[in-house]
Amino acid sequence: MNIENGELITILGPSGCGKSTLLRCIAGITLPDSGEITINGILFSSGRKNSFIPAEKRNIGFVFQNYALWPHKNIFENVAYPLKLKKIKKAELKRRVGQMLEMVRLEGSENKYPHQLSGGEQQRVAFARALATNPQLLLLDEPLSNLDAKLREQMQNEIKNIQREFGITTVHVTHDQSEALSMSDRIAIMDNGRIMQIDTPFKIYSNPSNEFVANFIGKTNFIYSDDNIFGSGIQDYYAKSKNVYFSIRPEDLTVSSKTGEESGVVKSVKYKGDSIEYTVNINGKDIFVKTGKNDFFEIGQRVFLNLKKEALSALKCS
Amino acid sequence: MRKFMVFTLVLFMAGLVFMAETAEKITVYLSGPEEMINALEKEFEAERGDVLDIFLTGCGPLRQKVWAEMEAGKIHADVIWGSDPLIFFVLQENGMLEKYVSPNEKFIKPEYVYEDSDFVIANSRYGVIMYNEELIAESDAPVSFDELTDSKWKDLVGIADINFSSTALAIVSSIWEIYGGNWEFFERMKDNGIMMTRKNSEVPSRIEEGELLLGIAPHDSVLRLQNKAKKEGYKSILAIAWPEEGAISLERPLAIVKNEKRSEGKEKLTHDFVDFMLSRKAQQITVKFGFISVRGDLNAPAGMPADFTVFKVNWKKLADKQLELRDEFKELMLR
Amino acid sequence: MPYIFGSKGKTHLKNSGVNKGITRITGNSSFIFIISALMIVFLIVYPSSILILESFGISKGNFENFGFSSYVSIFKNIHTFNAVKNTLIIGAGTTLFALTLGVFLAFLVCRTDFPLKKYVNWMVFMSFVIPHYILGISWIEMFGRNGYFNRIFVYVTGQNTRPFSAYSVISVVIVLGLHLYPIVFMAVSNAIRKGDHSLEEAASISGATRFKVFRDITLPLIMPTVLSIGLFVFSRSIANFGVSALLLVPIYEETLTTRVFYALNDLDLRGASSVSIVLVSISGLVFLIQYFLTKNKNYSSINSNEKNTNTISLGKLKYPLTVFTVLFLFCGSVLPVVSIFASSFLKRWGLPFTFENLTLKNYTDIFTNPKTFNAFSNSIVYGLIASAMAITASLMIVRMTMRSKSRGVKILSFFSSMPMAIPNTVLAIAAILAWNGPPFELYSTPWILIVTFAALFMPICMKNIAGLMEQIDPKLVEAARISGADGFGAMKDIILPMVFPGIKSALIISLLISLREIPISMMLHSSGTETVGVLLFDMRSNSGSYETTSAIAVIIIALCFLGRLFTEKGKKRRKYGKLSERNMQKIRKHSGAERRQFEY
Repeated sequence: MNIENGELITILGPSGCGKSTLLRCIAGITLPDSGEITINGILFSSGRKNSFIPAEKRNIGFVFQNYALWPHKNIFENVAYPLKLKKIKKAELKRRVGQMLEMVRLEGSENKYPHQLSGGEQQRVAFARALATNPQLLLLDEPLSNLDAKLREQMQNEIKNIQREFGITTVHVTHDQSEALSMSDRIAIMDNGRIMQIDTPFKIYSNPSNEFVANFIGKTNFIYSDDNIFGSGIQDYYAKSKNVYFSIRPEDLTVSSKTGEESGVVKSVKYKGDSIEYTVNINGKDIFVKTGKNDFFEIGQRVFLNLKKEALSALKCS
Repeated sequence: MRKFMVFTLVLFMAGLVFMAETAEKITVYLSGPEEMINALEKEFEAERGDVLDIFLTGCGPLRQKVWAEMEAGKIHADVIWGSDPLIFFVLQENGMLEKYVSPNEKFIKPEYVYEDSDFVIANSRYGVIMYNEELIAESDAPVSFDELTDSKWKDLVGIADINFSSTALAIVSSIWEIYGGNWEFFERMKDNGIMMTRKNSEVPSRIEEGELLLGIAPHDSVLRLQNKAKKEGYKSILAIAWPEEGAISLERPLAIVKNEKRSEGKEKLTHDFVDFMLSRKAQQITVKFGFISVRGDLNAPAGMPADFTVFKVNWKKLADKQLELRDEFKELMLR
Repeated sequence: MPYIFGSKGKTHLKNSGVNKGITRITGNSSFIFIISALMIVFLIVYPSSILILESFGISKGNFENFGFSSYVSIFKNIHTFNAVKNTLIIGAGTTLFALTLGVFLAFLVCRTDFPLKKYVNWMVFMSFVIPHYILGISWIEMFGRNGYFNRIFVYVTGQNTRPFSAYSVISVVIVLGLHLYPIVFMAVSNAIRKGDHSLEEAASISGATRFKVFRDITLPLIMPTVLSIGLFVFSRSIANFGVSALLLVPIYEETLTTRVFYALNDLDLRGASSVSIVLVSISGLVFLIQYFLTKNKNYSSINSNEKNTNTISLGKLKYPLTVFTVLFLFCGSVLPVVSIFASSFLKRWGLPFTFENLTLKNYTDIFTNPKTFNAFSNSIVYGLIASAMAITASLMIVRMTMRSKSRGVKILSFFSSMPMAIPNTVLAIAAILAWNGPPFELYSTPWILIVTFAALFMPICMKNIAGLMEQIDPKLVEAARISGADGFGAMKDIILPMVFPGIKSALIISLLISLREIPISMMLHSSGTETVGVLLFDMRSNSGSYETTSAIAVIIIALCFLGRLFTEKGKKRRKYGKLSERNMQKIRKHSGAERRQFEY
């Protein structure tokens, strides 16, 4: 896995897949069993103890899931601590802390203690602290997971802005796919300690490289050759290789009451406001379909499905 | 869960039953060796059944309890058998005691008879010097209280603490009297690092255990410990030195508490108990445990020398001064 | 909440449909309030008020002697100063000793690659189980003039000097320190383990070295725990009576607790009361400081689920440290037990250990002597009745504090945990004053011991029950009510089963205390109501010999060990399913307090 300078890469995966451990290995909190970590050409860790550079010498910024603000230090001291350890002079330190707090719009809260701040504010302090020493790498360990939905969205923008402004290389860990899709330059999908796919958000969504990725990101329908549906649309692929199956996103299917490639019966309806989701049963197989907000069908109604050809994505059978 | 609640309930009931008063028993406050008390109780109850409610405690707590109840105006005992006469003079003065002349009083030796007293002396013992004969040769052993102030015994002499022991107060007061009514002896003893024990019987115990080398305490526990050693088959290292100034005669008074409301049955029991205590049988039991009988028709316990000096204490005088003596001694000893 | 406590007449709108039920429940609650208030007044408020009045010369409503004379005479007396000085030395010394040892061991076990962690835990548990008075006796057996160490010294060097002495203020400090450090160890290792590791990781990532992480983050974070446990140790050590009496009486030194006892012996009740008040003021002050410290600096944070991997390598120090620690702990917790155990088989303490000097008689005596048997049964029966009283009152009060924030309830729960700050000696004095004479003549009945024990057990029961009761989601009770259970039914079917582990451990801890408690037993017992404490402190038979006391001690240690294992086991089982984070925090907050309550 390679991370480019200045990019924001998100590591996405179900809980327990090892994404946090990977982050901790990069930070130097956890000693990896094997493998190498190199930053800017310097070997940080290579599975052997003697080549392990401890966390305090790596100059990395880290934002913890629970922010890890020191409760016995006030906001100023929290942000100033990494600078103090770098033996930065008092005046410069003060200026720098002020600058950081201004950046996260918390000027004036210097003398408050963490427990006096709201969750979002604590989060911003954690950011200011992580960025205070101008680290070569910023690591974010699910920093948004403790915030409510609205605040989370707002913070996503802010993080992206700060990251872009500083041009700092950032590794972000999350299990929230929409967060990953909207923030990242690239996404790495991880499962069981393995990276399944690294790609831009668009590619990850539209062209998943395997079933796990396809299933993990968004909703999808898998069509196998023996399902015998949408035969005309996908015959071409089968001609090339028998050993494939297909993922079709629900929004890539259109529904009509009159005509279409395949016909089925509406089994259930979910009204979502901006869209409607239907489960349509075709020859005993349930297919999820997403339609516009005005396409109403009733349960039990016979409908017809059409497939947008360009949206097909083939997966190799394992 | 339910079982637990039932269990608690049963316990409550058991507690209530357990606490219910039992009728026609007399309460006796006393101190002394437990085995002796048990033997006396067994002997007294042999014909009468379970009629004694015995509160056995150290002489110090006993004195404290009696004094507290006296000040509160009601003593909860029917009979008191103390370790020394000091408190009995005060009890008598306060009219707390009932005069009873036992038919057995005629057997008591004259030196144990106090005229016009509401109590009788039930038995006696001697305040003496005791030492470890394994580490101190008989020729080296002190022959007087005075020799205990020798610096070669520094930190090695023990005496019971008057805060915990009433007999200790009696002994300390007596030595004060021996030294002509001043504290000079104890001042020297303090400089010589005298050690305190919580009880008189602890003095010979600590000597035998090697914590102390010498001590001042009543002689009876030495005899008992020697007997124990003989019985269990190990060598006792305790010896008594009978002081030149005189062994302090520590008399143990017995008295009936005045109580007009006491039932006739109980009243008779209290008289029976005093008669019993002065009987030959009971006196013999106490002699077996090392005490000196007040009766003329009984021998001294085994292991006593034929002849030694006795210091006859003026208990009445000391009793009148006991609170002052107590405070002065404490003031002297405290660091 | 579907109902509220109190007579303020507030009812929640959403329940207006079940008004009939509400009036009945509210009535019920004020009934509970009155009952528990009466209990607390009877057990705690009345005796302490009498004590305070007595110290000012007001006894039995007689104001003639009112004044401060007894306080004045306390402070005029040079010996009181000495007693205060000794008390403070013991308090400060014990605290320092226990904190140093406890914090050091906690770090060793929780944060380093120390190899014998399991054994350290085990040995700490050993010290935890031995009652302090028994530890004091073993101290004499080891360091007395003819103690094992002196004998070894004489044997090895061949000289006839005995360098160790068992009796001094420092000895009291060491014995109490050895007795109390396990509490420090447990509280601090709890704090270290439960603490948020990401705080330390954040510091390391910020560029702090291991040492700086420790100095700047770890230490300040556990400081509130260390401080509050330190204050607790301080107040426990100044409240101590047994060890002071054991190790200071022989050299005629006093502490405030022995002074109270002496004053009582001299029947100077007023003096005893005012010295008691001085003692309570010191310990009350300490508790107050503790309260404010823990109130303002509560760093309890969300528990991170990751195992802390930050173990510090001891490097070269590993083996010297291991040897030192094991040796020290061996001397501090294993040797005392070994010494007590060995001594209990001697025909006479002080005899050499040869086969012909060994006997089982000390044990057979205990079981055949009716007085000994009586003492054990008294301790158990009184302990059971007293803890049943305390548990009942605690259940009612804790239940009320959950439902209502009214001032009355707050005052009630304050008074019920007040005995925590009162040394046992003082509780006994208050009991003598309160129960000796009309209107309550409990003196020289078992009830004076039982009600005083009940007062002593109140805070323990409160803590044990409150810890579990707070975990109970009010919705569970509401659900029971909706399902048709009345107030009593909900209590019986929902609350009681859920707090049952707490009740059980409160009961066991109380029983263990009643088996080894000394000052209350000593001062309040009378004919036939002797408890084990009386037996231990004042062995009447066989002239107060160490071998008999040791045999009793072995039995008490065994009982304490069993009881402790039992409560530890219960504690593990008492978690009900998955608990919310907030509740977990509450539990954590209480588990520390509860452990502290283990002692005395």
